Amino acid sequence: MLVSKKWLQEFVELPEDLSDEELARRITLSTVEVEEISSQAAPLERIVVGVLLAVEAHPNADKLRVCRVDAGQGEPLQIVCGGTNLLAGMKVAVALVGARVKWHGEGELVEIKLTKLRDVESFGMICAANEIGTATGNEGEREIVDLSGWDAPPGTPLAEVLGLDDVVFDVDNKSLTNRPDLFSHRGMGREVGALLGTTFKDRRPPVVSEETEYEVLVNVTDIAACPRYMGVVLDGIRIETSPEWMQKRLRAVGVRPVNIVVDVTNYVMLEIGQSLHAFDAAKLENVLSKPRTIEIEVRPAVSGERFVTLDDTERELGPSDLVIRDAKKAVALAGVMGGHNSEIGEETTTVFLESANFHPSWIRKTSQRLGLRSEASLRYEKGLDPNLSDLALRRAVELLLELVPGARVASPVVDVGRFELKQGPIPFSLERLDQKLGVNIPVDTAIGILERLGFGLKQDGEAYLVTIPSWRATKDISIFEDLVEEVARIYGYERIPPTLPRMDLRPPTPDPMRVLERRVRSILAERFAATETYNYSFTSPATLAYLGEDAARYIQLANPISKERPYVARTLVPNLLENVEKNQRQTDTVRLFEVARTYVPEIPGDENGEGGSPLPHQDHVLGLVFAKKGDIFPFRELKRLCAGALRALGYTPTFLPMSDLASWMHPGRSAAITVDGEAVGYLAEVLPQRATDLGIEAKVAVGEVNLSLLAAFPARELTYHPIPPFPSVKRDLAFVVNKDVTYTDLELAMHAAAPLLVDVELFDTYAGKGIPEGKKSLALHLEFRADDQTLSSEEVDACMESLRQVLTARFSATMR
Amino acid sequence: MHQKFDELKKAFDAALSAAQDKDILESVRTEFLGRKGRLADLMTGLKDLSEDERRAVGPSANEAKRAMEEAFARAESELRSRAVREEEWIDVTAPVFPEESIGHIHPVTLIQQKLEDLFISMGFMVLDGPELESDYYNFTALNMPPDHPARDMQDTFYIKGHPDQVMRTQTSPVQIRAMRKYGAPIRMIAPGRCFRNEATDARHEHTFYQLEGLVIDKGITFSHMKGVMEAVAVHLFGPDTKLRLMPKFYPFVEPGVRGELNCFLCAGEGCRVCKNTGWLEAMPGGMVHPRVLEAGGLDPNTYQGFAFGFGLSRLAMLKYGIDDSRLMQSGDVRFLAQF
Repeated sequence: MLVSKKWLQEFVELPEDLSDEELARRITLSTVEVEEISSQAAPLERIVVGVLLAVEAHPNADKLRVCRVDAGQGEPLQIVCGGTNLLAGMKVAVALVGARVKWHGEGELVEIKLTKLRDVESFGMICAANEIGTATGNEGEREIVDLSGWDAPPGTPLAEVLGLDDVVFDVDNKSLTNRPDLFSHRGMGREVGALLGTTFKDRRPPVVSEETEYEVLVNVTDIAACPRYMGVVLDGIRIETSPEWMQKRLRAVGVRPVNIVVDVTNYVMLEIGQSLHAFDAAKLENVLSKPRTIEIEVRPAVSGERFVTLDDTERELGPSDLVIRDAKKAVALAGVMGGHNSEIGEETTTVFLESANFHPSWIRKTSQRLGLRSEASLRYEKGLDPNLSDLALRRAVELLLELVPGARVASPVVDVGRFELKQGPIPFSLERLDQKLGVNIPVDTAIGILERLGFGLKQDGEAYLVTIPSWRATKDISIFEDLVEEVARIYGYERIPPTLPRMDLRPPTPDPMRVLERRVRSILAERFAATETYNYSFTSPATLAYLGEDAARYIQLANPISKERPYVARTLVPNLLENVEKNQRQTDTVRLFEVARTYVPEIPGDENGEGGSPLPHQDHVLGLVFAKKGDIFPFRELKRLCAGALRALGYTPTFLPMSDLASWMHPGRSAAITVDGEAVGYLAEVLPQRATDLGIEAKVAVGEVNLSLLAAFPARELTYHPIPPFPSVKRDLAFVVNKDVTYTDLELAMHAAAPLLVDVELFDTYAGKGIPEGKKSLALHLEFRADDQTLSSEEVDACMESLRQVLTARFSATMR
Repeated sequence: MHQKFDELKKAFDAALSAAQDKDILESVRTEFLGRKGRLADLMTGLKDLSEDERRAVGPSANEAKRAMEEAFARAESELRSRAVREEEWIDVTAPVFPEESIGHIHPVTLIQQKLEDLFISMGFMVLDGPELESDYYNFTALNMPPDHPARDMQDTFYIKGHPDQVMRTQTSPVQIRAMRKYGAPIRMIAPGRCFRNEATDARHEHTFYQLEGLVIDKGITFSHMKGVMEAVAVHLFGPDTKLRLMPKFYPFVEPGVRGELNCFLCAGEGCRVCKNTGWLEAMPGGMVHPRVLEAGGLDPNTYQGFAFGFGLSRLAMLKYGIDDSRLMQSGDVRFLAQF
């Protein structure tokens, strides 16, 4: 919201020596954030009034003129200008060298420099209306501003001529959510008075003297939706422009002047914070076409009802939208926007002025549903004090009677509704205040602050009973802690000393999952040279389709940002593969990992807090992906990484051929990862065709380890085992077996057959030339050892023999 | 006799310094030090001298012999090491292929871990909660009942078919879960991923990271909140860091504050990052609202406390000078490999 300093000063005294910056700082520190201070004069610096002494043709350009201008700078200036309406003797706005002007009213500010235009020197610029912010829209193209009507000598700063002497504070609306009372100059004035300890100058407009020429009948169907509806008819209205002072005020705070009636409603809204609406009474219909009768009904719209708002947009309404109706039709969308059908126009002579209070949630819903936010809805959404309706109506009538010659009140003031504010009292004690803040605030200070903010205080023994002023009672203040904030923020947060709490010297209980996540990350990055990536929790339907994933198994967002990523990830794989696709042109090797959640709807997860159905299951998952240009076997590297990381974490993983394959998994290169016999994840190469569909050129392996499952298994405890007292004996063994014999099966069988075998290491696998089709050759380093003696060569021979036998018998191995 | 030994020594030294390869060195050895070499000859000659003469010459003869043998050994070793150098010289500046690659931790993780370490050292638990959260925990329990206007402040992703489920808009629901699980007193932080339904650009991301802190006990005050926030700020940005608190409305705290730090980039002078204010908005917080304590199962008449938060993504961007928030989730190795 924009706050005009001049306007503010009508409501509060500002000390002479208080700078604008200091005022903004005080407001920011104690109330709401002032985002910007702008002086109206600042953009017009070095723009002055000039008189055209001579206008001559440009020697080298048809459309340019060379002007001699008296701009009060001593010698006349030579300025080249392309304006079409230049005449000697005319008064113009001259941007001197060094001024900053928005060229043709658009784009960034440009500094005016001494320049040559088609070889003729130009010492400034003669401005068009859109360059000095006075455009009305009626200017011709390439027409400069004619200031001849103004009584100002050459050299007078333009800001002075235009009366732009105000300073405007831009207050962050978002930091005002809880303060409907501050959406007005009056409210802001009261607050600033409390802040600075200066007087709040309130103004009470006179009570409207009622007439009976018109009859106004109002029916509100739902008092909760519309706690108060006030209105009055004014006749004898002539639609003209509003006086210059009012236009200036409105422009200063960014509101475009329209006509006297609309301007008055806007003016009162900005002054008092209550939104008003003016209807053309002639356009309001009643049942029997009775003259001089206004029949208003406030009620929810009918489903499918169509209504054209003031912005000329047809909108479809429903029963959650509150409308104002005359006897036959909707005439306004309550608290949001008026209707086209009852708009004030040139011909309007009778006005029905509405000043009502609507329930915030009705307004909020309608405004959100229609995506229609207005100054009115902005205020109603926050919960306005119903007392403002009366004040605003009186003020608007006062202004219209004063500014429109011939205007008169033509009806009684109608006031329908019922409202009750919860104004306390709240018990308040200094002792509790100090306990909350950790600082002693003198009683007079605390009480003074509350009183200046408009709270009522009644002594009650040691404590006080505090009554909440109506303008703070709609939502903002209801409990003791709210009063604590009021006192503390005005007292000044900077005056509360920082101290550290004293607490028990108790070591924090570690969260095992947090610990595991952290170790996984550091092991993968530091030992295995993998790079951590973060992906969105949302997945695209295209990628799921390429992978052959069934999107129906995914949780879906009701309101995704774009159609691109509506699905909530149940696996990290799709986005990791997208990472590979994106990176493959920049880098030969992609070795990424991610630790993130997956969301699985069919498994119940955490409770929802109020007895409803549980949340979807959300495991912590480690995702891994590897691809390297030219590597036709990326599974191997990914397995090295994954197995290494799991071993470093203290687990002994086993990789088994996978039976339950997702449709994108390579049937010959997919492994389930198990720990203590339980599946905790998988690694798989992506089927070449699927990878190609995803735009991935290299072969790619990807995998997931479910850290939530893994955390359930005890990691290996570090225990010392005595160093074997007897040496081990090493032998090699090479044999040929069928290609589909798995190493795990072989190793298990070998250990079973030869208990003295302590270690097996596969050092070569070969298939191809010299090995029969469908077979492979394996070569192993074997290590034998006994705990009670040095093994003799014969004993090791015997072990080797048992191994050969079991390999031959169970795996049809041929020794080499 | 003395003279002969001196002459021999000189001749030997000259020959030795001229010997630049192994073969010449060997011939020098044979000529002077060999069994039938010139030194042996002279030594043999000593036999013919008288007892007195032998006693006079003997020590210096032995000294000459020792010196020659030593000089030879030195020359031999020098030559050997020169040969090794020449034969086995490598360019030690050349990179070793393939270079050992190093991994990288995401910048947000780095910041998160730094903060976790600080809070653990102060006795805070590090907790976690669901990212797809119930409407109740994300809003209602945090004093944002249905229809509360503050819900509008947070553009929320809702779950299709489950109007009671949202992608959490903040880490604050973990506060409630933690109070319910651990009771009071409690000191905890909850770092994690949050979501807001807003279009992404260089400054806005619909997915971002927060760290939430909560301290509840008997007698915890606003002054304590200020003290802890200041301690954290100083730990993160150095001893000259200043904190200022301003009122800010959040439904789950009362009073609510936003904490600003003097801009560490321009030392408060004003720069692009702090929008020329000299201050950076960094830490929201406040005294936990009584209704939030109640939702967490605690008696607000007995316990009070404070909560505060940081944008981890924002801190990472500030600390590392990252100018586009979309990079965080880009998966671009050219970005990730810088950390």
